[in-house]
Amino acid sequence: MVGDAAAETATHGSSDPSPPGLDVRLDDRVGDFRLEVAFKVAPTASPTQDPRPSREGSTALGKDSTVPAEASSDPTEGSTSSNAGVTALFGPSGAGKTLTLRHLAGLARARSGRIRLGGRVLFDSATGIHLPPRERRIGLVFQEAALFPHLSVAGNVGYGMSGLRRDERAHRIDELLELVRLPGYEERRPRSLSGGEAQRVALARALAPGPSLLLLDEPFAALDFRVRRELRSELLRLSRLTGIPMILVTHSLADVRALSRTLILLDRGRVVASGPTAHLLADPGTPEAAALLDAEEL
Amino acid sequence: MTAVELHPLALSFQVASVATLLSLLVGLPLAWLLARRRLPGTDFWTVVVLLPMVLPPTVLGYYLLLLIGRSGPLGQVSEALGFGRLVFTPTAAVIAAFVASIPFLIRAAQAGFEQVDPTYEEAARTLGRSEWAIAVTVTLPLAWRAILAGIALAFARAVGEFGATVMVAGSIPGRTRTGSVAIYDAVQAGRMNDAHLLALLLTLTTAGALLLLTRLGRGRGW
Repeated sequence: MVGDAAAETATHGSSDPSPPGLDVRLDDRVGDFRLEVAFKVAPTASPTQDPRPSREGSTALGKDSTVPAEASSDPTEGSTSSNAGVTALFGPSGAGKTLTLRHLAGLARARSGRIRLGGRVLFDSATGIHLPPRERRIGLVFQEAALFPHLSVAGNVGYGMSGLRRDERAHRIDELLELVRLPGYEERRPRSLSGGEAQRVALARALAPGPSLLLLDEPFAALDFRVRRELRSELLRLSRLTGIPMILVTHSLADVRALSRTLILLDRGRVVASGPTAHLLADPGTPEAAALLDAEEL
Repeated sequence: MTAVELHPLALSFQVASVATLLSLLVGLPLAWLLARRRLPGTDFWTVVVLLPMVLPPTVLGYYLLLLIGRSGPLGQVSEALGFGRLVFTPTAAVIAAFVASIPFLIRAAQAGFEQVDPTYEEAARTLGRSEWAIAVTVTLPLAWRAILAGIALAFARAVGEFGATVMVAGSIPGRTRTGSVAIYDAVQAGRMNDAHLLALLLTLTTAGALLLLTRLGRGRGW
């Protein structure tokens, strides 16, 4: 509905008839910290198959007809095969990575800026639009999983599918647990899960409402090396299977290399550089970006 | 001891039960608002809500009398609506017990709500649920132990209510004479055996109720 006020976004000099990916421009201040970021993420290629009955997901969340992964089968960059739709937000602690995610999810509200996703306006300070989290269809996986401790695994995964009939929901829960390779875990309690298992359940829970975008806030940070590696490939598989674009906040270069197609470098609340991961890693462009990428495993 | 003389005990538990239920209905939303700082002037409301806990019960009773007495605003509303007068009725005893006990519930529940990690509520928000649904399905269950403790304290306080009750409900045998008041009356009249028995029964039943609530709280572990 909002026309093309995108002209002033100019940060990357991209022309405007852009495909309906993610378009973010934020200016916010929290205490002394200033967040001033602008970036775009191109839509992902279509999923290899859709294991999620997404029609149910969309009825559960009502109206909106936006199909997240537009069938624009031009993989903007890189290989279609791997790391299809993962964008890494990389930077040291205090760079504003998590805050940026919170803005995207609708858990924070910037003083000015605009967030568009797949043609929908989620936030626009100019027109006063600020969709609450529940209307954004954006999933969020927290660093510590944040599973509801009083609910079973099934209760957690089913939490975002309250609009579904009981049997449909049970069916979807089974499917999702299958998807994250935890079949039969329905009745388990969160406290009985290992860190890796908890994150898988958190992934299933976030995928349940059929989000248009999945945000991951350092989901591996609390896990040991081996489980990290395992979950990385798990995430790649999920990304390919579901075609849901993902934004991964991390301060691990290993995560960046293994997972992301696109890389956004963040430092002190600003985007230092952004572009295809392979390109940026090979040629950071500026000394500042090079320094950030040099500091292996921040 | 005859059945009639046991009436104060039964009345005490009826009054305390209704008062605790009311405290729960009114106190839980208030505690939630206070915990989430959703009320303008949170400090002011905190003081107002906790005041009955620190005021001398007779002062509390005096204010209540001004409020629900025949010329008080609530008293007049009640009569205008055809409910009759409030003072010296069991209803007045309930009101006294309610006002005296609600601070205990609010304090405990507020602390309980504040202990709930807001990340859980944020997770629930991103999963598409309404604020109301989140309060009921996430915040409330996670604060449940603290709330149970609040219920126990509020109930105990309601059973023990004396000062304010005497002032607004009086001590009408078989009508407004609660257990606590009956013990005082029995001692005044030199009926020490009655006082002994009532005190013992009140102690045992209250302890039993608390034990029950404690057990309930333990069962909700995860």
